[in-house]
Amino acid sequence: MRHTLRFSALLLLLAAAAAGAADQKQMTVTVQQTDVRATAGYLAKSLGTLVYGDKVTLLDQPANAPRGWVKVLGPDKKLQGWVNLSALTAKDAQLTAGGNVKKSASSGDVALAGKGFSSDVEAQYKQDQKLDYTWVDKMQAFPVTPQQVAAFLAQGGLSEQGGAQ
Amino acid sequence: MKRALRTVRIVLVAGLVLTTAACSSLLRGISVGNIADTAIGAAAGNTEDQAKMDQLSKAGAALSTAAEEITPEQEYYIGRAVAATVLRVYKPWDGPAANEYLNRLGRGLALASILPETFSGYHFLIMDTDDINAFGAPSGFVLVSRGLLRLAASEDEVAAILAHEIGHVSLKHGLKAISVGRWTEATKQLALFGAANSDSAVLRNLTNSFGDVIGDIAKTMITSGYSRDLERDADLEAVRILHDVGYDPGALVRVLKAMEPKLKPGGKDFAKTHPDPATRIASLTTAAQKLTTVPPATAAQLKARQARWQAALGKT
Repeated sequence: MRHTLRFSALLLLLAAAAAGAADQKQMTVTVQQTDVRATAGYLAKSLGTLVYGDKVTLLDQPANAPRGWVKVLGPDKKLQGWVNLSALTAKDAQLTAGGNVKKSASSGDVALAGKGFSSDVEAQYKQDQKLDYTWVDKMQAFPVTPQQVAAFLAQGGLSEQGGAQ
Repeated sequence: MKRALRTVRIVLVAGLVLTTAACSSLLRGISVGNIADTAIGAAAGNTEDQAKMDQLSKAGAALSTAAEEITPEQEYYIGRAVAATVLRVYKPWDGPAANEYLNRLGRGLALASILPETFSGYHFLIMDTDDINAFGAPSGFVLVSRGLLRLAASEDEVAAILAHEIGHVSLKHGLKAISVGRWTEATKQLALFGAANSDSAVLRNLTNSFGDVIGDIAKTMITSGYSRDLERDADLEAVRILHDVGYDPGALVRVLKAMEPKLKPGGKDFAKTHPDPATRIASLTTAAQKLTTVPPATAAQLKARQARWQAALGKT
């Protein structure tokens, strides 16, 4: 009798643990690159970087956190910190439908291969329209670092979450 | 036996607690719309403008089909093509210091938007024209004319111009310009391409669909303009961004007042694609006045803003 009861209780605990694991929400990174921050905010210390397609586990979204910030566990199950929801999606299918991507470890960028409105389509469209992307590429390459943006805001008495006026 | 039952009871309670906790998910209904609700509601306060701000957040949430379905990666390629198309009409202005300043300022403002991160981030470029014009292309490609920048009398006013364009980007107004029929066809081609991406005929059809999508957006942005409602939403989002970052929310109204006498009826710039500044001013003044709760900047901070603005954009 005692063994039966203990076994039943153990099963219940296992079921509860399994429910917890299943309920841990997985999300996918949808931007080329985003930092995992020590606290909720873009000016907080970066603990590591996530790239397009990385899967993260949602750990917490405290009600008192700044808007859009959630705590996540990285794909290596070690990196843990804050990411803004605008860099994530819960719709995993979106990525597979929209673009089959491969990560390029050397550039830290994302090499886009094949599907959807992607580099293949852009190359074809550029050729068809004789469209010049030189300055679009230059726009993306303006050398402005997050540290420079932070310094710019601080110098003017400004902040991402409310400064002077 | 009693001891065994007590053990089971404790374990049962613990199990129920764990199960309940596990089933109450940490996050429900995450969306840009939710973020907008929180951000705008908090900024606006409990006033009449709350309702307007709420409408804005609903507009952000209730995106068109295309805007909902397009991934950030696809939006990025659309944004690049739209920016390249705009740069066929207006040449870029090769002023490194000015463009760098605009990017520091713009990226700082974007951090406070309802969409602070896009696929490759926000990028800003000055267009070499006296026309009064600006474009917020999908995924954060923002182009502003020298003519419009000249109307600004301070960094706060340049911030207002950029914040309005960031509003268009973050509320995905460009994607909303894609017609339903166009997007239906594009979806079909995307599905076909996914199934047979080595087929050059399918790539051709998908490229044609892509071109049609770019055509819809470019036509709206360059020729016909967004609806009054979308312009008002971008204005209200700009005012909120200015407030949250710490700029004067009234700066947008000042730029619009400076713009009013400069617009030529029948012109191909803002006169053609935007509502009359007087109309925009009327709906913004009250909203801006309500958003003045942050501490004022010090004289030194204001001086620093003015000095760097003059150094970077004084010759535009």
